[in-house]
Amino acid sequence: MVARKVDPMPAWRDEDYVKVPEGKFKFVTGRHAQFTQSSTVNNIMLLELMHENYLWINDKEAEKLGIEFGDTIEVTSRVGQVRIKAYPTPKIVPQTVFYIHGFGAKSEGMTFAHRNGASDNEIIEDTIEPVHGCANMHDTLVTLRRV
Amino acid sequence: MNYAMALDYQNCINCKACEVACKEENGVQLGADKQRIWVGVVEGTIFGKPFANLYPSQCNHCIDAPCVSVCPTNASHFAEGGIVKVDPHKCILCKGCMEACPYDARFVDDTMVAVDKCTFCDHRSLEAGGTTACQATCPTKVRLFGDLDDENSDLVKLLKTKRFFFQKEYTNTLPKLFYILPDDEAYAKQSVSHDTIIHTWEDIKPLYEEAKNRRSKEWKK
Ligand code: SF4
Ligand code: SF4
Ligand code: SF4
Repeated sequence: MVARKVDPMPAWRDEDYVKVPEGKFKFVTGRHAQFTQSSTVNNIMLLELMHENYLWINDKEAEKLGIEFGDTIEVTSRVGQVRIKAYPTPKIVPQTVFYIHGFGAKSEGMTFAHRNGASDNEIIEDTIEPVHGCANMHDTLVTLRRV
Repeated sequence: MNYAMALDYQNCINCKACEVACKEENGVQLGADKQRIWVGVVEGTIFGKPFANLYPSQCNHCIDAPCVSVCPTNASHFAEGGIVKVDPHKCILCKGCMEACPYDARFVDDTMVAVDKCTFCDHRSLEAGGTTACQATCPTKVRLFGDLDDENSDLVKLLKTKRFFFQKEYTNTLPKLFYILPDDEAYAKQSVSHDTIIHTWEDIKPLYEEAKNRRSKEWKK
């Protein structure tokens, strides 16, 4: 790994850190206890608990932007665009937005989960972490627009 | 027999496995508002810092159950061990019990055309070694179902070592969901309101025993 100029032990590199410019947000994603991998997406028992995902946005920031609970927000990254309803909350820091993975399926075969909110796969950029080879899920910058 | 449940609510992670297990076990009607069991969420901020308190809940199987008193057809009744049940064949959907219940523990099951609610899973929990579906499935062991009359039951043993409180005790229905006070003082302060009364087994036992003796004549064997 050293020969390939990759740190064998994880090390912090300032130059790899994606800073958030004014007016943009960093998109982060995550999972629930209820919705984990592909097999849970279309499960009607689980969809009873939560049938659609929402965009978490810091409540004070949302107020400044005039965004209220349930407003439809267009989220745009370099690679894609989705629409999703807003959930302003103090549980998230400013300049960061979040919605849960496993929703907003594109496929009409997902009879219950078809377009129930937004899919994170449609906006996350394809960059790869050099050591373990997974996608960088939390490095995408997005802009928001109330529609 | 006097069936009750303790809830170590500080361990709840809001995974809702109990809600799904209850629906599967009891064939509860689908629909987000058709719930025998739920997790109450209280969110807020303290000096700008967000917090969330989780109170898993269901029917309290109250000893002085107003839902039973108000029922004009005796559909709502006390079954064995004081478990409060609904006989769907007698229910005329007047919904008086839904109004009377301070815990909002009842709902209309449209498939049965009757009111439905938690049964403490009496079809499986009363068998030797059995328990409720919600207790069996909980990954963090929040619930403990048991018999208040049995001093050697895990339930009474737990209640003897912990302090606990009830939800909405002021409604005087003598509820039987015992919420275990967290040992961690900071968490206890954050999750229990100022006017909630904290109990011990010694102080509550005479009251609950007297109430049981008074009401258990109505309990079906
Ligand atoms: S299964 Fe247990 S941890 Fe999960 S929501 Fe229910 S009580 Fe809470
Ligand atoms: S919680 Fe409600 S439904 Fe259950 S026994 Fe008490 S009053 Fe009746
Ligand atoms: S005891 Fe049974 S019916 Fe009652 S909430 Fe638990 S799983 Fe549901």
